Amino acid sequence: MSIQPLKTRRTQAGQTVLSVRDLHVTFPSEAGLVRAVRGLSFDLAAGETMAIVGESGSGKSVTSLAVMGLHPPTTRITGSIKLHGEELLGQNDDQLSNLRGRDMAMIFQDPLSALTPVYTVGDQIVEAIQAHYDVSNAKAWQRAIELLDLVGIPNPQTRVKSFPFEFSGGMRQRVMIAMAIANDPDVIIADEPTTALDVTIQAQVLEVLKTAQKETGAAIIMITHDLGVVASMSERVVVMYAGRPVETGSVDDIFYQPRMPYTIGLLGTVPRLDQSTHGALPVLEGNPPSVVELPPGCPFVPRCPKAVDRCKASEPELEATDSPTHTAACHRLAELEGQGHAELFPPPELTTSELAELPREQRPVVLELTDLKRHYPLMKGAIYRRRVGTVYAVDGIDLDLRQGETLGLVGESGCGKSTTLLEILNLGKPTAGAVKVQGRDTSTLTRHERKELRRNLQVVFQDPMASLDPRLPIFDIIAEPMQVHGYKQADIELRVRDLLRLVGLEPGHADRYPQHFSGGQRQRIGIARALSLEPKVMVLDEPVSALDVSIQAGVINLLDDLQGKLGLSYVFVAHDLAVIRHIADRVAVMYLGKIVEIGDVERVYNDPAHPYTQALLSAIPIPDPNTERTRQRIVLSGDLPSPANPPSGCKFRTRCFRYAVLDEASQARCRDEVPDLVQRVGDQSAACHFAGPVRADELATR
Amino acid sequence: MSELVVAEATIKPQRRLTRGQLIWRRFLRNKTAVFGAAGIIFLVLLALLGPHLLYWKFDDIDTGAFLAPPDSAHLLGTTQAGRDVLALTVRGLSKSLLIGFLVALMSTSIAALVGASAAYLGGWYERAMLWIIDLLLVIPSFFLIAVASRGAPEGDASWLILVVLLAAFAWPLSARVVRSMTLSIREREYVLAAKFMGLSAFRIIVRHILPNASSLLIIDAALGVGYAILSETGLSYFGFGVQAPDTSLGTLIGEGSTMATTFPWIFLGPATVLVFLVMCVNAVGDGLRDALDPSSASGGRA
Repeated sequence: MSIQPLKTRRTQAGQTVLSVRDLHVTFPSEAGLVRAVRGLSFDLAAGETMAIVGESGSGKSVTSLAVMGLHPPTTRITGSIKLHGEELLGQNDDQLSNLRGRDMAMIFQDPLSALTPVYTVGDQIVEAIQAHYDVSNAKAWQRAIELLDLVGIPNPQTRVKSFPFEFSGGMRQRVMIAMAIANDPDVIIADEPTTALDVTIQAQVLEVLKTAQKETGAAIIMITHDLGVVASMSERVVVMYAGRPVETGSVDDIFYQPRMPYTIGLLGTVPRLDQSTHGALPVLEGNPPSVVELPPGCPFVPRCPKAVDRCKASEPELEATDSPTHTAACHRLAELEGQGHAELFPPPELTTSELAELPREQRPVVLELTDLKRHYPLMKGAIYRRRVGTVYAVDGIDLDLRQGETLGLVGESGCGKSTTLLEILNLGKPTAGAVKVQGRDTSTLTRHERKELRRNLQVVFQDPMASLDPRLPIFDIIAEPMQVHGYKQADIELRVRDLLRLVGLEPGHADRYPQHFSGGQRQRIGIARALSLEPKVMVLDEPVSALDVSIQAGVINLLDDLQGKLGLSYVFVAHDLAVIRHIADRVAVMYLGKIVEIGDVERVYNDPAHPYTQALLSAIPIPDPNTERTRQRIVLSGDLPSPANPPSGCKFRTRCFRYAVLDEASQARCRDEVPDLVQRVGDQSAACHFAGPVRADELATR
Repeated sequence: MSELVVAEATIKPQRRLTRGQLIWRRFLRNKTAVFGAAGIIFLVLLALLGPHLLYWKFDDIDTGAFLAPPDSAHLLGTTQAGRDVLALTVRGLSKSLLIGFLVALMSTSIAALVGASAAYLGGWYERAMLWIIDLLLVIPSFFLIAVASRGAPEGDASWLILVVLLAAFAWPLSARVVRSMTLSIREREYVLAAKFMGLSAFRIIVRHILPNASSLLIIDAALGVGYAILSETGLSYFGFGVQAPDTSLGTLIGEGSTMATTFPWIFLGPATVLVFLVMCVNAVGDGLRDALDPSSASGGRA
């Protein structure tokens, strides 16, 4: 798996390949001048990986576009960007086109839109090569095949002729990487390369990126908001806030000795996959500022617990801390040494209910699924429609939710989580099995009973913008469920105020529209609406995954607190397993429409028994560089099989690392016999014929 | 930023503005729209009070002035038959206003309800509705109206039948557009959220789907007013609606346009009024659209 380099490198390892000095990027907008980047400087050494971390609006993506020269023409850029000592700013588009793709390459976030759908992937890679080098068609195609092989596309000889739609998202991102390294670039800019992918696919793609870097010796600028990815990939980190670098240093400096309060807070607010953290998360209050018309002084002042008058007067410059390579921008740097997030951002007090004292078995069951199935017919034909197959979206799951507890539902996209939620929320008749809400079987309800039952079952959606009607003021949004269920207008007025206060919003803002609120605030409005009917069960569909890291903690704390105050039960769907570990009492892991492992969250996380759970937990990068360096990762091969054509026997066997090392007789068992959920010790069940901890020989074969 | 918000909130009186008040305030901020609304009110008043204030009645014949250009006796001149153009215009305006607004309102409402319900409910209902829409689109409307006209009652109320017929043929195309918009809106999470709250299908359509398609509906209605006023002329030919000696803007423009180069005043008066009316309607429509859409910058902050 090695490819011939196309050119000789201009820089040796350790030399600076890209140098950015005092970069300012400004562009006009309706609201005024957007000062997206204000004074960014860094040197990128050959072969090094540097991460730029920040929340949305911090200027990290604008930086990458400015370096590539891909910014819109109205943008004003000052400062200096030098590649191999050659100034890039001021060069025209033709000159930059020469560099782009040859010396610098970019990997975009969305693999769906980054490839042209009407050309084969081979065409596109060959085009990328021939745009810069005069090589024959045969040689270019040969190189395209080698590149696809390098990034781990099976059967590259045939797949090179495939169109982008014939690849899955993860495979497309591999093709993007192949294209980016086609000309041995010196710098690869990866802008959130794995954000749109599932965790097991993310692990694969990050591995490929590492391989690609090893093969080509390129330096990588990794732009991401995921601190776990930073810890696992990068050597150096630049933390950006409101367009300014606020802390730079080696990955260890940033993660173990952060000095700027924002970095400290950011690291503290992330729930950890490898630690059980109960109670509240530390919270960075407030929102990142808008970069239009910034007031003077440090932009972090409104959220900073240590702010003094000097911070409001002038913006701090980056200063060297204990080591010259670790710099931070804070006026009170000296006083902050050794301070952790526990001192700076003490977690708020949460209400705990007396329900939590009661053992689980003694609490009433509020939601019960028994052998729930939802199959969709696959139809074909325009005039005479006939059934050609079945999509087994949910294929027999059992679970129960008791009062006051949180059940986490995890799995990759396509595993049936959303279908399960819809089955619960529809209160209809499933294909097979039963949904019982508070003991009532939903398939036998009359219309009136169904409406009454809806009071007890409310939902919070993932996208806080899409789940609120943009045409209604938030008062009407929160009042709507109460109007439907016949509350008196005077009561509604009072209750909306109370609800707004309960979720931490200003009651006086009731006549504003959703667009006047930030993402975190909108999610609070969504929660207030769900709470308005005093439900017993809340279904939370990825409620924090669209939010920035520092906002996420506040919403999680709110949900935790409300559960304590109101005795709510949650079904919490998330792909972020760290969030589930923090908030859930029990967790159910789904794969292709079935639950493969279910049980107490601590038991499942500490001692996962099903190979899929083990792989899932292992795939997630942990925001701790030392742990990341020593961890042995299980990387699953391939993609999720189609739910229309699931494998026989155990559905996971096609990707299972344990199946791969089994003897023939045992493999036959996995092929022929569907494993049932079998209870292990305590509250933990797994559906695997060979459940148990990961053994060394299973890892060794990979 | 956050301090600013807090300060603003404390200054603000505790009284909450309802949605209607918010929309009204945003509408009033749009000067063009307010001007348009004033224009429409002026035209309505002119149509109501004009006949009582003017010296000439619309069916008076001035035997001393055939095809006379505008002068002090006839401000807008006279027609071939010696009728006062100003009086005719005012008379025609009252009929045309009624026809225009009623047809636009009816056709847009039918289009909105049929289109949205077809997409939202789906299934057999959708197929049946699409079939009717396609049928209405392919049948030549004039032919059908000519056939239907045979048994229709005649007299003063026949313009109402005209309104119904015009509306009946104006909605199908818009209904198809509303349906395709609804197909995307119904997948949004706030529609799902409303469903899981227990809202009925009708309320979801009226409260969540149609307001979010309102830009289209408002433009459709505004254009519909002009369309109805002009196409009324063609249908009058079949013996519907406005019959001589009664008149309408459409009839006046139709008659006047044949002599537009030689005796322009017959045509100019009614045409100016029609253009002014359509402009006012569009201005109000734009203002309403911006007032209903909180993301529109021209409506200002809520």
